[in-house]
Amino acid sequence: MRKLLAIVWKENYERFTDRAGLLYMLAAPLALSIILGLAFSGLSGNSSDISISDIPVAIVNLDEGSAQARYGDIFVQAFVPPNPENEDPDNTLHHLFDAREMTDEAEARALVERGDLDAILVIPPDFSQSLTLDAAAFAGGPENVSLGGHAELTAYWNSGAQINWSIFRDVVQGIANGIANSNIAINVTVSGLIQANPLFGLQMATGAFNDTFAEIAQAASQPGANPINLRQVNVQGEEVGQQFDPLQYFGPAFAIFFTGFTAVFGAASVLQEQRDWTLQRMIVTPTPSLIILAGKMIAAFVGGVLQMVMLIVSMTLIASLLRGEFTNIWGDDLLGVALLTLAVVAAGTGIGAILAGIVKTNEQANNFGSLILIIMGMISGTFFALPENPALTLISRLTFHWWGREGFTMLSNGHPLADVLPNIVVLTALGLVCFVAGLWLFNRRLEA
Amino acid sequence: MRKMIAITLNDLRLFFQSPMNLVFLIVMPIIFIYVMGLAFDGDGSGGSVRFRLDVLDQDASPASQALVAALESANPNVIVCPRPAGLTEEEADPCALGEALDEPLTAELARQRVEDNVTYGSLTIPAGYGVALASGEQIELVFQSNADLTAPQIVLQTVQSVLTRIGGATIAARLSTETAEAWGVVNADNRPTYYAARYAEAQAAWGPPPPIQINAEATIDGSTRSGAGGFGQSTAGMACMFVMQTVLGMAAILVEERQNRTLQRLLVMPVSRAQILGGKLLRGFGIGLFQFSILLVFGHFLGVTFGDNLPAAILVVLAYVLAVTAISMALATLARTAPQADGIALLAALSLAPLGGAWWPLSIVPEFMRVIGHVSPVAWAMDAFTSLVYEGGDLPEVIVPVLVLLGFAAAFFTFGVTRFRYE
Repeated sequence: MRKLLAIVWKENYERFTDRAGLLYMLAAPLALSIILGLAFSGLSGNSSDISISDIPVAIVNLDEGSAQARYGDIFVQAFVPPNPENEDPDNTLHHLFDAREMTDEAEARALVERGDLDAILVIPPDFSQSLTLDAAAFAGGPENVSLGGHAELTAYWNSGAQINWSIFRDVVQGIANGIANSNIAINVTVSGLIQANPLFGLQMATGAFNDTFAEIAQAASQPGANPINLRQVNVQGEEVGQQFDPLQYFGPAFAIFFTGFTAVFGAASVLQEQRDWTLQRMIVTPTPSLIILAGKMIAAFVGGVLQMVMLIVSMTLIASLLRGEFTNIWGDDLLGVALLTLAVVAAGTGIGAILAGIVKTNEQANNFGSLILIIMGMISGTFFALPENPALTLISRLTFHWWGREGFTMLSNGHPLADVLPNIVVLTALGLVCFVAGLWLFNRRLEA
Repeated sequence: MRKMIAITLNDLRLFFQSPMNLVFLIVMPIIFIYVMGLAFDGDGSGGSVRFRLDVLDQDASPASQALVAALESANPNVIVCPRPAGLTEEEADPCALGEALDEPLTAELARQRVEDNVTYGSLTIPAGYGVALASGEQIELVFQSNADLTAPQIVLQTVQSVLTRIGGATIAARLSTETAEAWGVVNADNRPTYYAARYAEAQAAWGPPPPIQINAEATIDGSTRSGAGGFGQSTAGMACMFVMQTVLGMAAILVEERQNRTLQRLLVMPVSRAQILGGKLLRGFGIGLFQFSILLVFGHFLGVTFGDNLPAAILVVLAYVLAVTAISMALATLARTAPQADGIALLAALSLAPLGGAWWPLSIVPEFMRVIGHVSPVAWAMDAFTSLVYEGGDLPEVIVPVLVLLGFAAAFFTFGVTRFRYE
């Protein structure tokens, strides 16, 4: 036991005093987390500030209006501040967009193609006329009332600004829905009244209902007018506030990714010792070879655990600093976090052990190990969400990164320990099986 | 010059002898470009990606069935589950219900399917939905999803869009009925009939087609270059990142040669120091250029083009690789051992790449991050490529990024050359 502990201590002393190694182990994942946290700081935590702002867009308002309305102006009023020098700080749209009104569509399109604008909205001259009923419709009886007003808007956007375009499109769609709500409510009201009594149509033609129509339009476009409410909840049934916390997702993902390198290469370092003949020198000492090998593997495991602990603490500090208050991105179930950490490192160490048992040289271990870990990281969704594909989904389940990241995500979302037990079991089993197999393979080669 | 090239060719030969180097040089970046490009290729509205949505209809009224039907026709990329009865097993199970195919979908099963990422969300239509809709009363539907990055907004947007249409019809029916009541047309006896007739008219008015249709066109036509949008970012971004990683890694080789004293052995030969250093740097530059070219050609096959101005693209590539080579030169003067140089190179690549917009466009980060990001040469290269790929840019549009990159090169070369020690 003493010899085992001596090997473990020596390995980790070398590992944690190597400045180059500390760059891989700690500096790289922390740097990435800080960059991500700052880049998406407006999307995480309780911050009400949005990180995206001043999206350059233009409204090309060619709408000539109708007797009843000028719907094109609604878009202009929504996007373009009346006084650009003195924007209303409470107006979210004015903060989100840097919008201007234009009258020349060709010029606006050229600005989009040059990248000066991310998107434009072109409102055609007959926009209002296409939607609203005219006086003849009122006086002509029910058969003249058309409910199917239809208008088309054109949006032109820069393909390199996909995210900004999707935000602009959603806002435009929202305003268009509001206009459609008002317009259809008025048209349906007109239709119903004229069907009940055609004389109403004559009154409408004289303008007697204009105030009523204005009230209907306003009531229909109110934010709370829709009787159908959609409540969004997460899988625990809790109301969803923020949709996505980048640190909660990427923090554990990067921690697992970089700890994987420590665990895998730590276990495979036995090949370097074999190349340098220090392993053979240790074997001739009165120490069973299995103890030496096990000591190396356990040292890699311990090193990985220490690294994960440091990363957990550091990332918690980073998240707290970025949000200005204590923020635990790992969840409150410390036992769950601890067990999952041990399981993840065990899996990584196991893979390192089997790698050491299969390959013949340290260079092979470095090359194949890096390749395997980077591909595992990618297909498990460490760097970005993968497109939906059954094959990719299945393959991602073969990586310890996926099981670890899923487990940490569940814990940070408040799942109890029982829910992550399958992840812990799978990871531990993977680690044990690979560890035993790798140890056996390597020991057999050593004895040969 | 001949001696310098001889040194370069020797180093290149040694580098390309190892097949694993080619794997990291070409195969790995290509995989990243392709997968990342797919991941960033829009929100699924135009692509071939499909998303499952479970619908729990606890009302089973004509109104709730109409809602389900509207969801099914709203977006071809959203699969509403469970599928209607009467389909073949193959048609019925894009929902991946398996053994549960013939059983009613329960709330717990739907929740589990969301949690397991089998579906991207579940929508519960409560009992009483139809009655509430008919009378214009408030009703709450519940959308359950995994609130993380892997839950795209397309499913939620589809649900919201359909609910807006149906809700809009209810609003119109209610307001018109109330107005008719105020004018004495409607009373307690004929109210339900009047309301139902207005609701039907309003539903018809909402379409399809929608009353206000938004026709969107992009500067790059998605129909002719499917997926080019996402690949434009991933090709340029991943190429910048992997080339930086490769070329900065050359610093470790320089340091190792100094430690192994092969540099010193070269010094005793009739070769000048400038030729030795030049040869070594030319190796890094050549490998970086080779790698960047292969990746851009791959991007071209994915539909990414650099406008009509290929010389401008070549200029950007040359300037970028030169800048990164200079940084690797400077790095070699800071590290004492090869592992140290490797560590710094990895840290630099993994920091400068996302900072500079290789992973996501800088247009979506806060202003201060955009400013900080331009500390990285990657940001200037990405500015130039964005202009060429998406904005029809020409030489004048890329001249500033190119000059800045050349400035990086000049500064770091000066730093590196003055500090470099052969022993």
